[in-house]
This record gives sequence, structure tokens and C-alpha cells, in this order.
Amino acid sequence: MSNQIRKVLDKSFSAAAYCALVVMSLTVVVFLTPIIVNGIGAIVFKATVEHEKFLMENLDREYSEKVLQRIAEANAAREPLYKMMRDYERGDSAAYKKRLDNGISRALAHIESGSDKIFALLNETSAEARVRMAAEFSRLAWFEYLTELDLAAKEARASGNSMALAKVLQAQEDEISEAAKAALNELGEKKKLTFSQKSMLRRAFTHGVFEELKAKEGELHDDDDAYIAVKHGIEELLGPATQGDKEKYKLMRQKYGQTRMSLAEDVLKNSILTISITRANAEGAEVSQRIDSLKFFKNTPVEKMLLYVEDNIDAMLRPHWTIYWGFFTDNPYDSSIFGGIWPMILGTFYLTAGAMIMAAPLGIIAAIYFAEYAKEGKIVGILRMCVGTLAGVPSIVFGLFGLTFLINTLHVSDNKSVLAGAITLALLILPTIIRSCEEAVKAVPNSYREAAAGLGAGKWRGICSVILPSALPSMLTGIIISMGRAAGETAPIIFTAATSTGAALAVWEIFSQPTPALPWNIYNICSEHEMADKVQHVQYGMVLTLITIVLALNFAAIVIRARMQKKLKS
Amino acid sequence: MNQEMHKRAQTLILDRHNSAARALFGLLGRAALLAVTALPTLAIIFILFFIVRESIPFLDNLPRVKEFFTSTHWAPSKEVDPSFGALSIFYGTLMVTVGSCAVAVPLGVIAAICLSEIVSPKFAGIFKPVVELLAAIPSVAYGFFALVVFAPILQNHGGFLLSALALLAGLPACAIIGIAFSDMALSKMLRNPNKNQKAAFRVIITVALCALPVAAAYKLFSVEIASGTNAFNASIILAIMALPTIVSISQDALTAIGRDMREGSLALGSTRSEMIFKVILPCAKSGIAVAVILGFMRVIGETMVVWMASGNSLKIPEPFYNFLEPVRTLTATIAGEMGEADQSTGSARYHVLFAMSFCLLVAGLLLNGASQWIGSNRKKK
Repeated sequence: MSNQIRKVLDKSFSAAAYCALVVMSLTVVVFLTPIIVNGIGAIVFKATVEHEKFLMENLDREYSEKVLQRIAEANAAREPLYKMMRDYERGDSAAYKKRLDNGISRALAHIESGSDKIFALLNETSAEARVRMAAEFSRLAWFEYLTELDLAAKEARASGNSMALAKVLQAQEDEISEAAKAALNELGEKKKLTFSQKSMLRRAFTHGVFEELKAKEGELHDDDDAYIAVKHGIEELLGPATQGDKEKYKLMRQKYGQTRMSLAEDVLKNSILTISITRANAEGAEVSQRIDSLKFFKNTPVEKMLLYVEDNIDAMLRPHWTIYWGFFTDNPYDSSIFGGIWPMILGTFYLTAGAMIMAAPLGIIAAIYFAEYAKEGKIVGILRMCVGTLAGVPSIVFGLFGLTFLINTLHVSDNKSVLAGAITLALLILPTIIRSCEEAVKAVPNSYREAAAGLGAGKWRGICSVILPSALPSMLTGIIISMGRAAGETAPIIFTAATSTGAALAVWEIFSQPTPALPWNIYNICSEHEMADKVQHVQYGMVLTLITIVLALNFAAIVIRARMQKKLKS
Repeated sequence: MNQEMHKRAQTLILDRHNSAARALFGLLGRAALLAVTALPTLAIIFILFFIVRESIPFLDNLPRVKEFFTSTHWAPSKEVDPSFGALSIFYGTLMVTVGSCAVAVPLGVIAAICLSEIVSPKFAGIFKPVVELLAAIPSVAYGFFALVVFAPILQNHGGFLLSALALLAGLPACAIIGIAFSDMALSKMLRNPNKNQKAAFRVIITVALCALPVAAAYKLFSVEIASGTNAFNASIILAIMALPTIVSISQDALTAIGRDMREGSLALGSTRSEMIFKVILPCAKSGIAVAVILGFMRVIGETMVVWMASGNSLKIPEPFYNFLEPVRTLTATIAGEMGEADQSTGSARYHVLFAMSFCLLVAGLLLNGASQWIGSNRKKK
């Protein structure tokens, strides 16, 4: 191979090696950027008045006059919308009813006057001819009624009374068949008709009318459905219109509108300006359809409502930038849709602290034994090997061990508890602590030991008064890093300590109660939450909190290590 | 005078007394220390015992064990005639592990080489926190990233992403291979090629090789990924998690090699990359092997990432190397089903999950044993 090529290969290998470093650094950036940016969004965001309403009513926060005024202004801005909705829903049905009833009586009059024609039906033997005659007759008889109906439906849509008319039409069907029956009975008495003849005539009278009614009613119902969907959307956006509605609802998410402007804009786009309604498709099956509500409600009062909402969303919600520190200190409400993550933070603290209290002293003692007392031999070799083996046991196996040994066999608690979880985590981090502490003890120079012995201290005394204090900072580094690991581990606590919902625990409850904890709740809120896209800010906020805790611990360890190195150098 | 002597003698006797007590105390203390030190050993024994105890009710039935390892029909919760075929779950574990190691091992080893051989020690010290940061981030945060950030990107722009990856990684690699290969072939085929012949030959070979990644990228561009949570996603994220282990342990192994080796090799006229490949890597191979095994262990035992990112589907992908399909792993199955399994009464499902964890434990112990064996061999040398 020529030298030139060797040089090229050498250079390209160096380039590849630098690329590997760049890839790793990029990975860190790509990973942390969305989490930091969106995680901060959980605390700093554009809040609406609903956010303050929620805090005032549930967490007893007190607000300045200015905020109260803002809420009052928002309420005032909503009033015109609510008025439009009330007007729309009230509707006047009496006039329609009168008009349509008029139509029925005219049709009946037509039947009576044309009764000869209809009796001709009975003499007709061919079924085809009968149907044709019936259709002709009923078209003539109901012509005026159907025109009236068409007119009424058009007017109703334009004036926003389609709900009222739909109610009238529902009753009309019964009224028509009642009227037809009565008219036929009268005729039947006169002509002495048999039952089958009567029913044949009745069918002929009402031929085609019911279909027409049904179709009109369906159209109006679509209107109705769509309006109800829009109304739900508005309720989702702004919260219930009245205090009565608010008390009726049980879930917190129904009691308040959107607390964040970004979510409010989503709701406006996806639940108000486009809505889904169920409609019968060509084959007659009911399918859900997404429609553009502004197009659907063109030239109706609902269009005005929609435009009002679109134009005045800022006035009705009064968005403003806010910093919600309560995210860390408030309890979650309604599956974390409202409130903060305090119980999870506290649970993580309990588990980590519990694991440390157990693992740190044991680890330090074992490290002292390995470094100061043990003579290399078979037994110590086995003990050492087991430390390595324990470090290699998958974390989920620790979880199962905690479940079957601590909970099902030892019964440290009836069910999952913080205690069981802390013991499991302590076992998990014990090998790491032993190793790092052993390194720390070994790093203490021999002259320290000799000096202690020379001053007359026994071995134990020397360890306690000289070796441990000088090894402490570097032991601390290892312990703190293990602490970070314990805080972030999920698999061991799934079966031993974690629960997805629950309040913050008091200290004495940790022996018997499971707790929410950040790692488990991150999984839960991402994978098993019923409205995962409504709580994305909480997901990111939780992850950022957990990462911050873990990285802060690591950072502390790095700082301690750096200080120690400085000390050693000087 | 006499009295004083007597006093002194008494203190001496007291001292002897004292030292006997001290010796006893010291012995007791040492016993206590030993007891604490034996705790990890005790824990290993207990873990083995309890995991085996809980899996025996499943493993004592031979046809069922055969079904466990050979069938893909997994329905352990059925009341009547439940089935326990875990082949697809084992395969999913294998697939994700192999996939992540295929990414993490080359990248990690090259990064370790770069940190120990190419950049200055000062820069390596600056870079160390990046590796530590990657190691410190909790697995559930990686799982969150895989599920919430990476999966939607993969699902919506998967084809573009894959083809970009093929071009970025494949083009330079193929170009270099082309140049090296054409040079070697030239020296074999022609005695004294003239300049034009040489250049033409090189260009043809290199362009032909470079066509490969372009063709691959073209084909990958039209790939549509049905679900963003799949074996590929899980493998990539697991690779990121295994990287710090591989990098830091390989780096330690590489820096442990003496100056004399490097200097000797350079003095014989090798370039830096030749020194690395022909001297340093062979010297450090056992250390790198330990690094790879430990990275492997981290991947096999990882729960949260695969639970959240692998899609949890019970099918063996079609064809078997299709990384873009969802799979399911042992750890994810245990984590997902143990909550629902009847814990206290001990249903068959409960025991089969313990049998799975037993398999995991055995794999962990074997790998750990291998790494310790390699490590101790290296020390003996």
C-alpha cells in the first residue's frame, strides 16, 4: 500500500473517531433539548383565567385585586356568547306547530273530498297499479303540507330554531297517523270496510309523507348534533357556563376550562372549529365524520357564535405569562391534569433516602473490610465475586425478589410499601457503593496508617479517626452517584413500592403505604394515561424534575471530586 | 517506693486484662464486619433461591417447558387451556440486544480510542462529563424520550431519517473502502500502472461502491413505518444507554497499555491508525471484551426503555431481520404482566413470569462470570 493511501486511511480513521465523539455530544444535546424546553413549559407558560380560578377555588391561593378584575372581565366577555347560546336553544316551536297542523287538516280535507278516487284503489287488483295510484293520490293530498314543511325547515335553520322544529317534527309523525286513522275510521263506518282494506287505505293516505318527514328531521338533527358538539367544545374551552352546571359535574376537568393557552388553542381548533358528528353513510351505517363547523353552520346563528369565539378567545380567557412554582409543591388533581407533582417528588425522596440510609453504612463497612482486613484468599475471593455478580443482576429481577421475598415471605408490609422498595433499592446500589468506597479507602496513603499506628492507635481506632475522615470525600462521590441511580430506577419499585395515584405520605406511613414516585409516574402518565396529550406538559415537567435531581446529585459528586483533586495536588 | 511499684504492677495487670478484652472485642468486631461484607453473597443466594422457588411450579412440567421455548403462542391469562409459548419474547430480546450492540459497540470502541489515543488528555477530561451524563440519565427518561419524542418522528419521517442515515454513514465509509481496496487491487493486478490508469481504476471502484449507499438510501426513502415504537427505536435508545459503559471501560483498558508499545510501533514507521489496529487493540482486546459484555448486560436487563419503546407486540417480525416492526422483550413482559398476575395465590402466569426472570438471571450470571473470568485472566498476564 502506498504511503499516500496509508496517510489517507490514517486521517480518515481520525475523522471517524472525532465523528464518534460528535455523535455522542449531539446525542446529549438532542436528548436534553426537548426535555428542557418543554419541561420548563410546565412551570413557565401562558396561563388563562381558568388556571387562577382553579388555584383560588381548590388550593386557597389568594390573588390581588388585579387578578380578580381580570377574571371578572373574562366573565363579562363570555356573557354575549352565553346569551347567543341561550337564545338559540330557547327557540319558538308553537308557530311551526300551528303551521304544520294547518297543513295536516288541509290534507285531510283533501282526502275526504277525493275519497272516491281512493276507493277506486280497492277495486284495483294489480299491486303495481295500486302503488302508482296511491303515490299519485298522496302526492296531491300532501302537496301543500310538504311545501309548508320545506319552507319551515329553511326558515328554522336561518333563524336558529332547528332544534325547536326538530321537536315539532318528532310529534308530527304520531299526529299524522292519528289523524289518518280517525279519518279512515269515519270512512270505514260509512263504507263497511274490512280491517285489511282499512290498513291498505291508511298506507295509501300517508304514502311518502313519513319518509319526507324523517329526512327533514334527520337534517335538523344533524344541525342539532353539530350544535351540541360545538357546545361541548365551548364548555371544554371555557368551563361550565353556570355555577349549577359546575356543581353537577364530578370530574375536575369538567369543572374548569383550559388552563393553558396552548391547550385552549388546540381545543378551539379541534373541538370547536372542526367537530365530529355521527351520520348515516350510503350503506346506512352510522359513521363518525369530521366536519368544518364554520362551513356547516353557514348563515345560521351558530356561525355568529363560532366567529365570536374565534375573535374573542383572548378576551374570554385573558392569557398571560405566568410562573407556576406550585408545580413542585401542589398535589395533582384529576389524574395530573391540574395541579403539581409534589407526592411524586416526596415519594422519590423517601425511596432514595431510605435506600441510602440502609446501603451507605453497610457499603462503607464492607469496603473497610475488603480494603483493611481481608487477606486475599478463597473466601474473600468468593465474597468479592458476589459483589460483582450482584451488580450484574438485572434490575427487574431485584423487583421480583423484593416482591416474593420481602412482601410475600417476610411480610415487611401487607402490600407494596416504601420500606420494601427502599430495601430493594438498597440491595441494588450496594455493590456500586462497596466498590467506590473500597477504592476510596485504598487510595488513602499508607503513611496515614503508619502514623496512626505510631501514635498508639489500634487498628479500629486508626480507621475511625484517620482513614475514614480522609477517605470520606471520595466515598461521598460514589455514594452520591449511587443515590442518583436509586432515584431514577423504576423496575425494582414497580412491584415493591410504586403506585400511580395517591397522596403525599407522612413519615410514619412509609412502613405500610405505597407511594407515587417520579420514575414510575413518568411511565404511567406517558403510557397509561387516558388523555396523554392533555398532560404532555406534566410529562415533560416530571422528566425534567427527575433528570434535574439526578444530574444535580452527579454534579455535586463531580464538584466534590474536583475539590479533592485540588487538595491532593496542593 | 514499694507501694509505687505495686501500683505500677497493678496497672500492668489491668492492661493485660484490658488487652484480652480488646482482643475479644476486636475479634467480635471483625466477625461483625465479615457478616456485613457477606451481605452481597447472602443476597445473591437469596435471590437465586427465591427466583428458583417461584419458577419451579412452572418448570417442573416438561411439555410446558418445551412449549415455553419453542412455541410463539402466548396467552397465560386464559382460564381454560392457557398457553405459555415465549419464543417470540425471547426472539424480541435477542433482536433488541443484537441491534443495540451493533450500534453501540463500534461507536463506543471508536469513541474510547479517540479519547485515549487521538485527543489530548485535557480534552478527554473535558469530554468525560458527557459520558457520565449519558450514564447518569435514568432509564425511564430514555424511555420517555423514545416514546414521546423519537417514536412520532420515526413514524412520520422514518423513511427520510433512515435514508439520511444510510447516506451520512455509508458514503464516507464506502469512499474510504473504495480507495483502499482499489489501491490494494492495483498493486496486485498491475506491475507498473501509469497515472491515468490508476486514477481511472480508483474512480470506477469508488463510484461503484458509493452507489451502494445511494441505492440503499433511495430504497429506504420510500419505507413507511407503521408504528414508531419498534425494535429499531428500542435498539437505538438502548445503544445510547450502553455507550457510557462501553466507552469508559474500554478507555480504561486502552490507557492501561504502556507507552513502550506505542513508541515501539511508531518507531517502526506505522501510522497512528496502524498502531491502533495492529498493536493497541490486540493488547486491549480482553479489556474491550469486558466492556462489551458489561454493555450487553446493561441492555439485556433494561426494562423501562424496551417496555415503552419496543411496541410490545407478540409476533416474530416478518422477515426475521425487520427492525421496523414492534417486538416484545422478557423484561417488558415481566414488568407489564406481573401487575395483573395473581400475586398472592400464585397462578401459572405468576410462575411463568418468574421462570422468565430466572432465564434473565442465568443470562446475567453467565455474562458476569465471563467478564470476571476474562478480567482475572488479564490480571494473571
